[in-house]
Amino acid sequence: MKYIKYLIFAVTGSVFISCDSEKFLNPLPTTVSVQEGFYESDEDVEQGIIGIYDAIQGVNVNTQTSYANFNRGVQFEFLLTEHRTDNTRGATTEGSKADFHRYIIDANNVESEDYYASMYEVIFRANSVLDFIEVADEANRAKYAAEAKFLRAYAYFNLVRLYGDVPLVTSVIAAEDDAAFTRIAVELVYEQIVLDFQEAIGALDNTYKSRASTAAAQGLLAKVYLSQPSPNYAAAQQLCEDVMGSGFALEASFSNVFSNELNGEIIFAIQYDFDNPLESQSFSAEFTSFVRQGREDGLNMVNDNLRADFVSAGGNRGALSFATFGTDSHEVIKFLPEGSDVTTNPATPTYGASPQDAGNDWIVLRYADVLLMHAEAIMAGAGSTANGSAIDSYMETRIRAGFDAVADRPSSLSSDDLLIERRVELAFENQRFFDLVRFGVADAVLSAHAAAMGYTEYSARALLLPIPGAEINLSKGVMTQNPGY
Amino acid sequence: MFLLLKGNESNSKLKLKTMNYTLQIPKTYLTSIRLFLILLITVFVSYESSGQEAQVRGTITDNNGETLPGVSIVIQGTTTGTITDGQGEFSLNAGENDILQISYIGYATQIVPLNGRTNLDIMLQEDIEQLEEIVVVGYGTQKKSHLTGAISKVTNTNLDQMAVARVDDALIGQVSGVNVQATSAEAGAAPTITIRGFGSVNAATGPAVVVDGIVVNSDFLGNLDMNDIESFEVLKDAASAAIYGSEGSNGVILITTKSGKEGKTKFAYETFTGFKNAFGSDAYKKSVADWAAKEMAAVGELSDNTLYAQDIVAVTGIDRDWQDVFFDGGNISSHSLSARGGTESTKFSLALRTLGDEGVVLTDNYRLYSAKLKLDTEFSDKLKFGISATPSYSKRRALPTSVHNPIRQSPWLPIYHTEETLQFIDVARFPDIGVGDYFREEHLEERDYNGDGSDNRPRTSGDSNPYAQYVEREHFEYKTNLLASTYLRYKILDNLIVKTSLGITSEQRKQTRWDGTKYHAAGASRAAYSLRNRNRTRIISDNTIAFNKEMGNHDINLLAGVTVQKRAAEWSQVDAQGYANDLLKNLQGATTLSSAVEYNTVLKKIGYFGRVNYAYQDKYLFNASFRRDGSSVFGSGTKWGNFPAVSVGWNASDEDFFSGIKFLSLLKLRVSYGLTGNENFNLPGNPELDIWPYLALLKPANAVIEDGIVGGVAAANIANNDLQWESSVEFNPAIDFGFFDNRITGSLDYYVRTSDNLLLNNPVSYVTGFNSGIVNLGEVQNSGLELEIRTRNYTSGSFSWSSTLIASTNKNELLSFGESDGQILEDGFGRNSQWINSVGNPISSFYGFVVDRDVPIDYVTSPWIPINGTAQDAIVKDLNGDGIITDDDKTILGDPYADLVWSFTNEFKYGNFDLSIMIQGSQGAEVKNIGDQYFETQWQGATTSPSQMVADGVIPHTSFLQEKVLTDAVVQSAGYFSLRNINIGYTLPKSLSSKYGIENLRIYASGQNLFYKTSSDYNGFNPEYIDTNNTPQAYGSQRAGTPIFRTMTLGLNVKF
Repeated sequence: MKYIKYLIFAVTGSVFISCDSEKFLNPLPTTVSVQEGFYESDEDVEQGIIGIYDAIQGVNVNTQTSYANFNRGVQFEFLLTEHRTDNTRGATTEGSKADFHRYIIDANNVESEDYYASMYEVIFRANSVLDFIEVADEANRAKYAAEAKFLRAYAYFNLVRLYGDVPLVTSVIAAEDDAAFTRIAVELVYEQIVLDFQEAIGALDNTYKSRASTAAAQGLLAKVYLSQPSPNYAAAQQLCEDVMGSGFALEASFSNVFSNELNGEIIFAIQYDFDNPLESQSFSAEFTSFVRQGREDGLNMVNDNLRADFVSAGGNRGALSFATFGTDSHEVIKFLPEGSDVTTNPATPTYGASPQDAGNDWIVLRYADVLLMHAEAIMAGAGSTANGSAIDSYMETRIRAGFDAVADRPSSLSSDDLLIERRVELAFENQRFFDLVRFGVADAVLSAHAAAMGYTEYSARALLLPIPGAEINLSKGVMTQNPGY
Repeated sequence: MFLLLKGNESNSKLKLKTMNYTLQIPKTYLTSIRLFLILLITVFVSYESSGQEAQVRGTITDNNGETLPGVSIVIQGTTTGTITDGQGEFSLNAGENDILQISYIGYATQIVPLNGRTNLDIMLQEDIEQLEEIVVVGYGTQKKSHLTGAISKVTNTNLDQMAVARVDDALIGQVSGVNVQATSAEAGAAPTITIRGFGSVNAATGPAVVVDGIVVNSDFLGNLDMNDIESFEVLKDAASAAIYGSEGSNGVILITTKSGKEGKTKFAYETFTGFKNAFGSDAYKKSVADWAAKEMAAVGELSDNTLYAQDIVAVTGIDRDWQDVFFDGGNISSHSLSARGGTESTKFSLALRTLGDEGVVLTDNYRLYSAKLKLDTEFSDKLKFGISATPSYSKRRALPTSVHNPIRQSPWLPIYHTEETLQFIDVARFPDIGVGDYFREEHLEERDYNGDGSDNRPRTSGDSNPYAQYVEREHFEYKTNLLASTYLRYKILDNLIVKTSLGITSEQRKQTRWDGTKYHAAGASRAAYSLRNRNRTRIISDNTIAFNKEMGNHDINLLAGVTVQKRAAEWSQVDAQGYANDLLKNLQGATTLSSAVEYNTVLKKIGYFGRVNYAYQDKYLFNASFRRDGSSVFGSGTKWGNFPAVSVGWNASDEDFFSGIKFLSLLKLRVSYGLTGNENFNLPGNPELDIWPYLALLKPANAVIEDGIVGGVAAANIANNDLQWESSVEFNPAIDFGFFDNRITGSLDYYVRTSDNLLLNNPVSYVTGFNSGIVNLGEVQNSGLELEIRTRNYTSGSFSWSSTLIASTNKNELLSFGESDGQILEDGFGRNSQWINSVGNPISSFYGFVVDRDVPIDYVTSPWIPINGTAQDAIVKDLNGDGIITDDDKTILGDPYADLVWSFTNEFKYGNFDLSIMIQGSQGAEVKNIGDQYFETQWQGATTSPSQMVADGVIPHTSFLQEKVLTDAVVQSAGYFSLRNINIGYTLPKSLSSKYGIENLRIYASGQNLFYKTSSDYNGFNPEYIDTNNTPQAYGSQRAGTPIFRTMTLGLNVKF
């Protein structure tokens, strides 16, 4: 049995010896990449760029329920925008999603916080790609950098309009960097947005509708010029005319705009994929209340006030934008999930095989918006304009809606008319809130609306969302809250 | 008196006179009468001298009548002796007046004068003290009297008679400082075990589990059969656990399984069967009749909805509490068969078990099959080899959604439509609904009952049929687990032993989640299936060399070793949609497959360790150990951690100066100090982040571009290359005592454990692109007292009574939290409720407003729709008195950690009957139970205009109205008091059982939680429940929970 003794020593010893502990203790992952060593080629940088769009797209709440771990991107943007206007509301008072339409949002509101986080995730991903831009082929470098900056500007544009002064970072920052808690004045944030969009205009082209393009940068920069504290109407007008000369046109049919994705009218859209939990969106389902397909009891329910405007100014767009189910459930039908049938038998509408994993794109900018901005830029903050090309642009969307090119053409276009036209043309496309602010009537319109609806908690504070309480908390009180919160 | 015998000693003298009759007494009574004879003779004959030699034969049994092989029999004053064979029999030549000394480990040594007898049947009595003499410690054993750390031993005497599905469920109340909490009362679900409080936030807080020397995942406790378990040893203090280094920071549970013994193969069949039923909650009982009465009392008339509901009740006769439907009780039964035996050199143990446990909630079910094989063989005096395997298979149907969800539905709602209910259907919307279809609230047509012109239908929350929510969803979990281990032990010299062992655990888990076409109001479009697989393997190689030597007053034990470990895990998941029917509840039936993900992880560790135990005169004890661990979780600069420990002890009662104190039989002082580490992250989300936190990882971030999916990447984490070990330092002074000949024994431990460099998923500004980053931050302290007292209150003849009192206190305090002091966290599910980490308070304390009073009913919108007149909001206190409610008016509202956990057990024996009763409780913990919001307001009790309340002077400012979930209204006491366990048994007299070839037969009845009292302010179903879906920072929240239940069983143990 002597040999067994040696065998044991051999086994024991081999554990000590065979184990190159340095190598043994450094196993590398196989199902996830390690950043160090990843960014080596042009393709890698492009993958990083695609990753930015992923952050805008967000994670479907029906797939991953935890807000703590997953950002929703733009999927709940309608709560922060449409619900805070006279356009729509939530069907119930349950949960934090019901706080927007009643103007009782507080600093701990989960969806507002999620949106803030989502936009900064977009900005972070853009900034981190810029760190590796040198790896890209020289021919593509400027293009990739411009694309990242376009997306960064898009995110800042949303943030500055919703939250006011916000932290401004243009590079990857460490967790303890004070920049995260330093609110930068709106004017300075706009300066950065303008710079980024201008770079995008110069370096990009119009290859894509679902990625950044020159036309998208022009259109969004036009909106930036109209929105910034001191608007630049002339530049906005020029940019709109640039887009108008780039081959885009209104779809002949209004419903085509939403059913036929990436159509000729679309300038920039965030795309989703039907029946694919990882790449789909939840809002289409949330808009169905009568036969509830979403997680909530009905969101984006159409207000009577908007229905009245559809009757007076909508032309054929009302019937294509919302529908009434049962006795009083007025619901958005612009983004019905694939396979929906709400017309064959309106008493028993159906919403296809997989409404929770809807693939309807989110339209960020379309040609109709540019036409109406064109009129707005020419009006240049005045109460009205008689400018022919402004009225031409205004009439283009109205004619498609069934109005007569001659009989219904005003000799002078008032800002009220333009605002109503934007409301019915772009209803449920998250424009109304920004329009009201830009036209300088937000407080007047919203306070009247709140009074009519009995939303007694409305005050002018509602024009800005609160900075998330978590951020104020982390800043140890350094970061100031918006007034009224 | 040397022998303890059945029967009454006072009769002995009378029996003496019957001596001459013994040979005529039927054979079955011979044994006992012989024993009496021996007893009596010993009284008189001790002075008699040795006489003629003769062959003496005998059988030696334990106090259960089981024969004992390997018992040593020595003639006093000589070296002549023998040992019993496999049947417990012996023979040797001895003089008629010789005295035999009979000894066996774990039993009191007996001195038996022969007095001319040549045939002896001797029953050995278990010696409690001796049995506990050897205690299993990390990588070895130790004499109990030499222990210097805090180690509690639980011997399996009747734990196997508790009708619980898992061995950890049976540990409740058994060990001081060990809190076993029924965090989910689902059948087969693991309880949460915490030893000496929570020392981590994001790292694992459960103890390490070691089965026969092999470290396994704590989940493995679900595979073991209590019938196979010999004992548990719990290493509570850091000094005892430090030899396990990074495994030991939350304590270690060492499990020793039963081995075969030399001799005839012994079979055992152990079974129990019984039923369980849930307690439910009176606070959440609902009925239309009750609502109507309340509404009438408050308003003087009934609302539309109530009238409508009454109408439906009148037709269907259904007005019930859904708890009665969902808490349907269940049966539990277990069968276990084992065979154990062996020869002098080879011993084996084989066991098989099947367990069926039907949970107390509708559809909840668990089934387990397990086996255990253990073989030890000695090739020679020097070489020993052993192999052991524990395979198991389980199938569990888990609850598809939290129970609060279906139970909160309307009491008037029938499960199915009948002819009578069709009259209420809104035919225009639901033309196809017929008899036998699920009844959903939305089927009701709207009616105007009070003639005010507005149509309405009664409605609570959600339109799915509650019964369908459970029955039409099938969420199964299948587990196939194996622990296999083998060892070789070689004695180089008598006191120098090397041992190498290899352990492999393999756990395969498959989960299938089928949500049928009828479970949701949205119908077939919601039908979905998810297939999830997880395979985990753990390979451990332990290699030790031990040296043990006693030299006069010196007793020295040395140990050195190396352990190498690899843990690998693979996850994969495929989701499927597009089911038209319920025929194929799997991937085959789907039209679309999606969301295919796969994660693989591997964690590797190397540990070097050594230990010195030294005892001088068995009185002065010294113990030191050191472990150095390297782990793949950390980066190159911080990979290695050192974990030293030292402890000393003094057996003071062995000193001469104590010998005069008669009542004091044991006094031992011990102090230990040690360091342990933790690297086991437990973050939600990608498992890769737990395993490679020091690397900057990129995750897939695909996007849809031009109608196609394009691959993208994005950073997955904030890498932290400086991340280091979370470490815990523990100081543990203690005293062990015994009084009155150890009739009262016990121990009192004080511990203070400070965990530093907490592994923390620390929130960071969203501006960084993340919401958290993993850092070492903060210091938390757990301190407390642990008391164990065991008493033998009464022992006389056939009656005995003993008691055990176990109590432990714990105080949890955050000592520092760096820049993050005062950090507020939310639960991440949109309810906005908060937790705070602030220095000087328990980690993750509940945080929020304090309720001043309820909202007056006049200001509650539709107070009776859907339920009972309370508002979702409450009026809160202005703590800083500034006339407005802001975040500054929030305060700490409680914490989820128990201050005191205790149990009190009494055991009685009378003849063949025995009775054991444990009462057990926990005090001082709170839970955040938002169940009230679901059951009382359905989240719909919004008040009318807060401005109106201000105008009317009800509140000074609208901010005084806050949602109850943000207040102390949902913070409820989690304390409880329970009759945790009661067991009454009867052992058939051996004289009777042996007729049928049965060695031992015991029948018993047992009950768990026959009485269970929660605090009066607790409304939910289970104060011990913790929602594990939540983030670790949001610990202690529940939505009423799965219900606590009582169990009543009958059991039978047979040995043959």
